Amino acid sequence: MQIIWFYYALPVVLGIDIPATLAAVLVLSLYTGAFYAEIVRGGVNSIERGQWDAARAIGMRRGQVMRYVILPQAVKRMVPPFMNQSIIQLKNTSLVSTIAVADLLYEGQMITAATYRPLEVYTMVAVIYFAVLFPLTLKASNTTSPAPTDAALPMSPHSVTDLNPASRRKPGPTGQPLRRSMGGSRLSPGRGIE
Amino acid sequence: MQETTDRPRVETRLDRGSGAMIEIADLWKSFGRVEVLKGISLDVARGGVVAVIGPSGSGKSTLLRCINLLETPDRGHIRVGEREMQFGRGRRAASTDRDLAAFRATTGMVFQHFNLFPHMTALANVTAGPTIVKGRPRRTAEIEGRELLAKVGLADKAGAYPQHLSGGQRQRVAIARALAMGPSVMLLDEVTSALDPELVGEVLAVIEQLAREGMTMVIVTHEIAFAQEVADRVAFMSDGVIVEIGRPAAVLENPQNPRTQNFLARFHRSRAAAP
Repeated sequence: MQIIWFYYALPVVLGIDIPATLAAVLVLSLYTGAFYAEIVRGGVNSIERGQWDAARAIGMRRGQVMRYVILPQAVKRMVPPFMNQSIIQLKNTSLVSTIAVADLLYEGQMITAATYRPLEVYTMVAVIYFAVLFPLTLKASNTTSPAPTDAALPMSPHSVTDLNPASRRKPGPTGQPLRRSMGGSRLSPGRGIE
Repeated sequence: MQETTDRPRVETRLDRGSGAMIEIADLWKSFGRVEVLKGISLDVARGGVVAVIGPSGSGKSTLLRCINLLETPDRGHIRVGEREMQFGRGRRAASTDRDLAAFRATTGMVFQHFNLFPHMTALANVTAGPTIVKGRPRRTAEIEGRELLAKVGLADKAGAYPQHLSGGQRQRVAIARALAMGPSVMLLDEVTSALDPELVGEVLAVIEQLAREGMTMVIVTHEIAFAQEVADRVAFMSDGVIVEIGRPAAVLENPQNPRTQNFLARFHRSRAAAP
């Protein structure tokens, strides 16, 4: 919908012409940028207040707290939702075929139109998507595998690996699904130490 | 982070030789409509140990957090060592993040829930302050860090991550981390409340040692017996004011204020019941 609006409606508003590819890139970037931003925000906010207290109590300035204490912990929590979002984003690219940008699905439609062989063509398209996405999905599940628990970090046990497209919900503007997914993943810094 | 209408002004001036390391006068703090501190005045002598006791919600922790400016008081006056701050009406001075950080660096604080950095080893927790804040070379900071860990009895745990340490060990690392900044005062906020009973002793022993070495400390605690032993003064706080303050024997054994009597009666009763 956003893609169609950007390509067909925005030019009318602004009085300029946007090439289909540019419109597609713009929309996908803005769309996913919003979610990435939310992941970063959620990651930073998920770090306990006590970490700020402790870091400031030994005299760190705001920037130092962020750099040495908050972000190293937050980034670890951000990785899994970040990967999930990226996988979703890759799948979203198929939507650009609606404005005639030549992505995989669009090319498939073209070939089908020329050959009248939808079964072979669309099967192949599906196989290609699967071949690209499946390894990424595996990698994401790996990243979210349970790490040693840490009593000092009370976190929710929810798992992040929800890669089933059927259960894929669009996170609302509140970012609720994202935040819920924040707590579950963590790569322990101490893994394999003992 | 926090709403601050009046920002504190940090002035560095010579110690006026009063002997008091911490000087607090008429300190007020409210969160929204709730007044947490209602005109607290407290002096702590150099090398003095003041134990602050009182019921939950009486403002003990807020008082500590105000002393090292993790919370900004609404009005009042605080002096720690040579640094002095005035808060309140008309005092809208520009106090930068840098000033506040420099101030906090001279006061060590230990928290109820340790708040160790989980992504750092015990040693890295201790050296974080000196290397990042003071810019000390890593090598010397680590030598000193190991000494501090040895001092709190954890020489062999330098490479361990917090999640592999017991509560008592974590809290001792937290004490070493605070000491690494070479603070002139230590603020201890219910440091044993989150510990299993059998781990309390090892932490209290470290604090006792600090007291013997002449560290100026303000200790918020529920360990009445410990307060009696280590503190040279005990302050009883209730409802945002210091109701009673004096020598431990006087306040704890023979309280004058009814609220103190009431609070301590529970403790004495439970102690009498114990074998």
